[in-house]
Amino acid sequence: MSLAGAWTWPRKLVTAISGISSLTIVAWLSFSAQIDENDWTLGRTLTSVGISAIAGLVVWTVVQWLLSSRHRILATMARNNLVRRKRNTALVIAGLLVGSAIVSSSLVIGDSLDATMEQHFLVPLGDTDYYIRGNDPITGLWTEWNSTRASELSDELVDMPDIIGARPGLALTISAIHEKSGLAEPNGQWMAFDANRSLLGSFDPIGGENGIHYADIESGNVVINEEMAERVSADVGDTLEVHWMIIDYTSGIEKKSLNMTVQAIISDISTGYLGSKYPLIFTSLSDAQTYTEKTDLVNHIGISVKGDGTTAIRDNLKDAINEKLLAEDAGLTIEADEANGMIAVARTTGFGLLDVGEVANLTAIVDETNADAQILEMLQVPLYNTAQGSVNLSGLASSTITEIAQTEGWDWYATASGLSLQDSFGEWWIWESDADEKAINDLLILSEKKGLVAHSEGLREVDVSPDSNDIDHLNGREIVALEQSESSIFALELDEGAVILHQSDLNLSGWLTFSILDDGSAMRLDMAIDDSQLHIRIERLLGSRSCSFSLENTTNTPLSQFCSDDLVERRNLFSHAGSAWVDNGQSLHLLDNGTLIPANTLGLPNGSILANSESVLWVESEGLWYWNTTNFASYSMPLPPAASTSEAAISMVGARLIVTTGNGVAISDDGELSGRIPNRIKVDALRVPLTAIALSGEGSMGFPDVDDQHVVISKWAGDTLDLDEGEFIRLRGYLPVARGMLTGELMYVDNSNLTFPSPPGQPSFDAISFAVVSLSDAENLASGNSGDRTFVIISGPALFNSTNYTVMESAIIAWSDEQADLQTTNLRVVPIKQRALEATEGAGESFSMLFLIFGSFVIFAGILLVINIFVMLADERKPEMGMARAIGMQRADLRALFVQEGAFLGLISSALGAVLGIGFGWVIMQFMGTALGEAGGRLNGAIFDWTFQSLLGGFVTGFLVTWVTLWLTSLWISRLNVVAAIRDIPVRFTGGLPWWSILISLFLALSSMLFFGLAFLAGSPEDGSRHAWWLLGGFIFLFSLLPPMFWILRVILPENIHFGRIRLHRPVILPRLILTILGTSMVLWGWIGDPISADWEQGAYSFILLGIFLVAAGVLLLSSLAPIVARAIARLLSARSKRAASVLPTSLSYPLATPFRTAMSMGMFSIVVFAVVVLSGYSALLNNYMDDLSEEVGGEYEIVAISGKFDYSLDKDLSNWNLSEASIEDFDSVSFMSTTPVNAERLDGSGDELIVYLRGFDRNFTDHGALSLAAWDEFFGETEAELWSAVFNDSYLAIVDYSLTPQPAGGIDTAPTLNLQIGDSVVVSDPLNKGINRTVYVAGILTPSSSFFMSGIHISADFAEERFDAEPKLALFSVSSDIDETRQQELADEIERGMAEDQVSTVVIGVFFAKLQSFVLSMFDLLQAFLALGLAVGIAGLAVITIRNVSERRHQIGILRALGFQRGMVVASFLIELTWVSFLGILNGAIVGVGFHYALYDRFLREEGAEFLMPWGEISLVVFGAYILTLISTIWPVLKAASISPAEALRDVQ
Amino acid sequence: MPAVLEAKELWKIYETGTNRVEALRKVSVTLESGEMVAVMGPSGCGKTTLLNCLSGLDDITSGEVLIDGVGLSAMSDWELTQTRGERLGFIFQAFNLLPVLTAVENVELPLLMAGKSPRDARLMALDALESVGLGDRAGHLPAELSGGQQQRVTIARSFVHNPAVILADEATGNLDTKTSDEVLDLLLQLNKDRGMTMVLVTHDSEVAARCSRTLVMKDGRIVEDRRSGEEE
Repeated sequence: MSLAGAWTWPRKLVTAISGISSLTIVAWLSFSAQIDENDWTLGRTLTSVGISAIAGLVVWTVVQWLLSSRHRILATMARNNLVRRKRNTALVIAGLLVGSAIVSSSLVIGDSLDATMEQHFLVPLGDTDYYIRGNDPITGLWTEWNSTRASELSDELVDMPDIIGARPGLALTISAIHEKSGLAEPNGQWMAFDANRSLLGSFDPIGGENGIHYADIESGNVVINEEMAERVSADVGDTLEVHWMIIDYTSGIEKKSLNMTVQAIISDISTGYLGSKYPLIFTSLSDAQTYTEKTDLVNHIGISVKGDGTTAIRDNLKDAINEKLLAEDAGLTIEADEANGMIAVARTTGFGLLDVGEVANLTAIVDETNADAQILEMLQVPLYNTAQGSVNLSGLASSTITEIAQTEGWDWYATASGLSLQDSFGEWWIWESDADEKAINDLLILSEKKGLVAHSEGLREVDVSPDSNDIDHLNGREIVALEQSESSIFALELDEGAVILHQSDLNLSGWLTFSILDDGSAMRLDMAIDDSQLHIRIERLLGSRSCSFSLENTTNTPLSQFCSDDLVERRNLFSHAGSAWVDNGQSLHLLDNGTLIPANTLGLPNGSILANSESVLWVESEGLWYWNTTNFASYSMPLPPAASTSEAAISMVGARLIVTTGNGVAISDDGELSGRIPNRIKVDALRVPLTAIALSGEGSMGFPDVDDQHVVISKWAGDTLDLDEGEFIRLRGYLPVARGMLTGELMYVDNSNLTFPSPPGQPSFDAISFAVVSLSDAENLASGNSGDRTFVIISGPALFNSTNYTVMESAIIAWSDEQADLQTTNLRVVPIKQRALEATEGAGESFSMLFLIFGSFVIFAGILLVINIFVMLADERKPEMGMARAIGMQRADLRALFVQEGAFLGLISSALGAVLGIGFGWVIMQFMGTALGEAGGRLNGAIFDWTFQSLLGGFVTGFLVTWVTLWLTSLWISRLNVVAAIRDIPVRFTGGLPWWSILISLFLALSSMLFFGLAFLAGSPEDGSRHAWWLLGGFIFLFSLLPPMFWILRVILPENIHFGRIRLHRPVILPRLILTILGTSMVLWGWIGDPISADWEQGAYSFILLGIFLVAAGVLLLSSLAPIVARAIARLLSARSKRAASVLPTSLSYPLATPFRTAMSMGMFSIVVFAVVVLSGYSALLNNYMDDLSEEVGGEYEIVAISGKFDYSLDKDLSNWNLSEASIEDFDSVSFMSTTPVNAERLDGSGDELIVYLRGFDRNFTDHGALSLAAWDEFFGETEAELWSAVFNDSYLAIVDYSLTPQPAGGIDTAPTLNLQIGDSVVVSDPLNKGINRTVYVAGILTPSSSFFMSGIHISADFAEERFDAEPKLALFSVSSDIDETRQQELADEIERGMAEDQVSTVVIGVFFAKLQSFVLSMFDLLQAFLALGLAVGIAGLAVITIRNVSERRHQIGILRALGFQRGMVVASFLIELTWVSFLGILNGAIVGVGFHYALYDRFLREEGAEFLMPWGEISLVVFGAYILTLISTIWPVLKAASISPAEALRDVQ
Repeated sequence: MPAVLEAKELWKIYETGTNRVEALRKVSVTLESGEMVAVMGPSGCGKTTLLNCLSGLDDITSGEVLIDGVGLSAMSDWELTQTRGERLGFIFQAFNLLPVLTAVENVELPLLMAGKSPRDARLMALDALESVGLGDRAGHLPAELSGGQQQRVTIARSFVHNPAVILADEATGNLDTKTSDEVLDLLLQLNKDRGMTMVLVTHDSEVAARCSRTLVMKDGRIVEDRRSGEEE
């Protein structure tokens, strides 16, 4: 028995309830799943809403069918419609299929990209979910901690719930060389994890199922990944030379290396490294610890948990680690000195301070443990300098001084760490040599402002004149002594025991070289000169050898003939007062033409010569003497009391004497005593600043109490500086000066005789301590947090008792251990798996977004096709629907009929389409895989994947689009006048506004207000969403104005409007006028914009909206204006050709009669062509940009070498680079770029400042063409080369990169800029020490392309190195033009191999950009292919529509033929009609696309100097290609139409 | 005789741009039950418009149409459609059968729309087809039938639900003389046997001659209302 019956209210109710319930249930299920997965992306949410709606609709329709006999009849009719109108059904299914397929393929591409990213991030990471690791804030290296404790912690962790495995390990940055292949990899990572714990947990073998366990890696062997194997071309069994560096606080950077045998090569699976395609090597932890001598250290713990990890697990991990960490992990050191009853607590990490809370806690602990114990808090403040009056007292580079010289206004000090110069105003200049100990061997004053410094790496000509730069000579040679004659300068070189003499003229314009001794036996050398001869003393293991030769006789003569072994060993040789003097260990002798005359016979008292100079000798116990060329005379001037007799140096000019004190120098100026001290003291390997000390608590250690603004100076400083009680001294703290506060604190000297007691564990305390100040003064000088302390000392008589001491020590240790937590140890629990998941999603999303943006245009074209097909079918069925209405079918019945048809079609075709989309996605991913593979980037290849979610997304979109289109179409048809429908009479609104148009107008107006509101409430000005909402609001508002505009214009305009002889009838002209106004307003709104949104960023959604609405505006204008133009053309042509007169109006009559369908078809073409044109334009611009970049980025240089990760500079001497001669010969220019970060500040007081790179370029760079300039000051040079040369020669000039110039407002991702222009001045300063600065004039600006690699401020390298300590970090290599990129790559590989120890990596600019370009262009090609799909949809759609048209218009064709139309005229008529629809649509898309592209260019690229590029050829191809394809695809139905015989056509309708 | 269909001072004006066409000008007519009325007149005189307005298919500009004494203007679209489905039957010159439905399906459609059970509807439709001589063509689609056969299906569809009035617009206009005669016989038969009121718009004076009453229209007015036997 059938349930069906009359469609009564109860049945309606049951149907409604069923539908709504189904909707609710599915919505609940769908959203619950969404909540579980925490996925609130727009796509997923819309799918949830859509699938719920579909469930409701389907159940509603099914229940309706079950309960209503009327609807069963309709269902039967619907079924008959589908089954018996097979062609129509197939057409609709095809259209819908393509639409759904496009959506699901876009989503599947997203899935595949997710999977590709997963392959890149998650698969390599494997089962590691968390890492416990951290970085040292000072060195940036991984924080290392105790291996035993890490192992214990790992064992404890695996006992915790949800944790499956934990393993400690070491990770190190390495470089690897494969000698056999000659290849090297400068940037690799060594992964080493505990072998046994790796087996215990859930950790897969490295390389996945078929990989290898850490436990199976044999000692001496290494496992490498495929990437490393490929880069160094290594195979199993090969030997790899692995290099790494360690930073040792006592010896600095140390390079280490080891040969290991490759045991296996594994894939990037379960390596524990986040990301694939990074060169990795693996050994067990124990081996790594042994090889790297880090036997008790680890820096990682890898943890595997159930699932991907949660916040709760992370919290538990943190708690467990905090519990486990000990004081030493946190950098807390406890130094015990039981003998003296003292315990010191300090921190070695971070800024080395105990914070106020820690100090308070410690005080409380001490008080609780032993009330008699005292606590002494100590704050050590690094000093920038100390000054008396305007004279800076602390500027010496070192306290070890080898030579002192005085010139007018300048004191010269050659020190162990470099040259220090002080001018008479008290300002210091320091040049520090790269070499370390005994860096400066000799100093030769050339003029008042110029000196020559001999150091272990060559000679440096120092010129203190303004605007002059220092010049290096004899680079890389260890010069030990210097002398000057009237016409020559002599430099003596000691080269691994060989002695070489270099001679130059006084201008140092070139050097002659003479070998003096080549048997390698020389140990020390001295040189002296008198008026006729040059003397050299060579100290050897056994005895000395001396050489003396005439100054005129050096050339063309082997000088070694003038040397002979000394009978009596000579100990010293020096020049004094124009004569040469020899000390043979017994006494001093004058060397007079080969004769030795004892000095005591010349009036010099006996005694050791403690120091000598050109003007004075210091004789032990006898004071100062000098040789007046006939005999010795004594100075009456006393030596300063601080003068030290050991390793002394001395200088006296007039009454001004400078002498070393061991801690600096003492100066006696006409009896006035003062001194100079170094600004930093060397402690072990590090040079640390001098400090001021402050203490709190009762001074049990012999420290004095000091009042505020008072200071007690250490004895060593007080003696050197000759400070006495009552004098004033100014102290400046390091941090305040770094922050620009140069005033410092003026202090009253209480005492200058303090010998610092050293606290436990602080052996060098006295050496670096300058003075004691009060705590509040120290805090001012520290500019730090009040209460922070450097260390705390617990002492007191009670602690001399052993028991008390032990109790106190235990309490302090317990407290310290408690303090150790993740924060204080710089360790973190890193949720690495979750990060990988985020990275995966992020990367996948941004790719699929790109496809969705362009896909959205294709989807839109698909939707237009579907609408078009339904509207056409509805048109066709209008008479029968009218008939059905006549015989009793209600409007609701018609709607139900359509909806049932639509639901059925939608279900089938959307489902099939969604599946087909997976196929589309697969094809696209194959292409993408190839593109990615060829590009050779980090992502090698693409993985195809799809999710049910994407399938559902495609299905839901397809179904809902179908359903909504059908429903709206049926709504329209059901409201038609029955007679008009039956007789197929076009409807024209002649009366007032229908009620529903007012409602729509109101709805649109309100929606637009909502969108405007959303722009401010939900939109962000940065990501472009605010702009998109605003834009949408404006467009919708314009649409809402349509009905009122119609009404107003209808009232305002007269029935007939006359323009001269032309009469325009209002009802005819009004719709066109309104569409024209709407179209124009849309163009204005979209294109020109408005002042409010002008500054907001435009994002992807704005692009989609602008594309759709501007194209729509174009279609509106074409629909409204084109017919008028067409008529005018027709009229014109009719006068010339009778055929045209008849064909043209006939052909255009159909599209003009069906404006909606025509507009839809046009829109379909327009939207896709628009996207294709924009993409082509963008692709061309990008291609051009990359070409420019590739050409300009390195100037004339082809290879860039970059120094390693550590603070390590490149050796400027290429011969030390371990390159083959052949390779070196290939380079025609090598340039070094010395780089350092500096603070750049505009001089105009705007306060704008930025940290930028200061890049010092060398002469080779300017000689070899340097980089392209966008603009320069022609005052300094008419050509770019002249400008570069001018900047090189004048350190007050600079060239800045393009990003520092004013950038266009509203640009995408605009970096901060200083808005510099030619002629501006900018202050460049050391970020940590603003005292080191230089104001430079912007003389040139790099082109944007040249700025790519070389951002920052460019000045001459010499100045950058001298003033700012810039170091060569980048080397540029140029090869001759006949060397191709393959050879360039070989050379780059050679550099990497030669410099692998230093982890130098290279980039071949051409290859780098070619790869990048190839990748980017492949992606664009792919997108264009995707868009071609849309074009295919449009073409196919038009073909289908034409087929329908022909069969629809057989009768009409028959009449035309009967009236005398030839076959050719019928063909011509159809072709004109098709051209009208397709070509105008295509042209509209192309014009809007070109305009849009130009607008983008105008807004963002024009000011950057980019050239407007439009690939006109490509665009013409698209326009005409699409048009011709359209004609080809429609030619069959058109020819068929023309072949219809008139009789048949006319009979057809009977 | 009671009036089944009555028009009172009907005006129907079409406005297209500047053109104003008065298709019906103050037409008043009363059709009584069982009458067979021919509406004649030259092309464009308003015959079809009158038929459309009488049946409620088209709106009227002013005046009133009453079916069984009930005014159409007071009815909602739903009631109007209901009334049309139950009380009126239509025969058009172009047949206007639904092309995807077979002959019997086309005929049973008004019955189903009126709420008849599918089984009853099928029986009644077959009966109706039988009575128009197409019992053996019930399962054929319209495209498979000749013009006369299609028109007979239309006739069967027009009376199958036993309407009060059948409105036929040039029912024989597209048919040859022989078929035209057969169709007219059929209509006369229905009028006679079932007492259905018939309104036939026709150009053919022979058709009119066989009707009981003839309305002659000119320029939107009924200029002559002649009953059978009355002098022309």
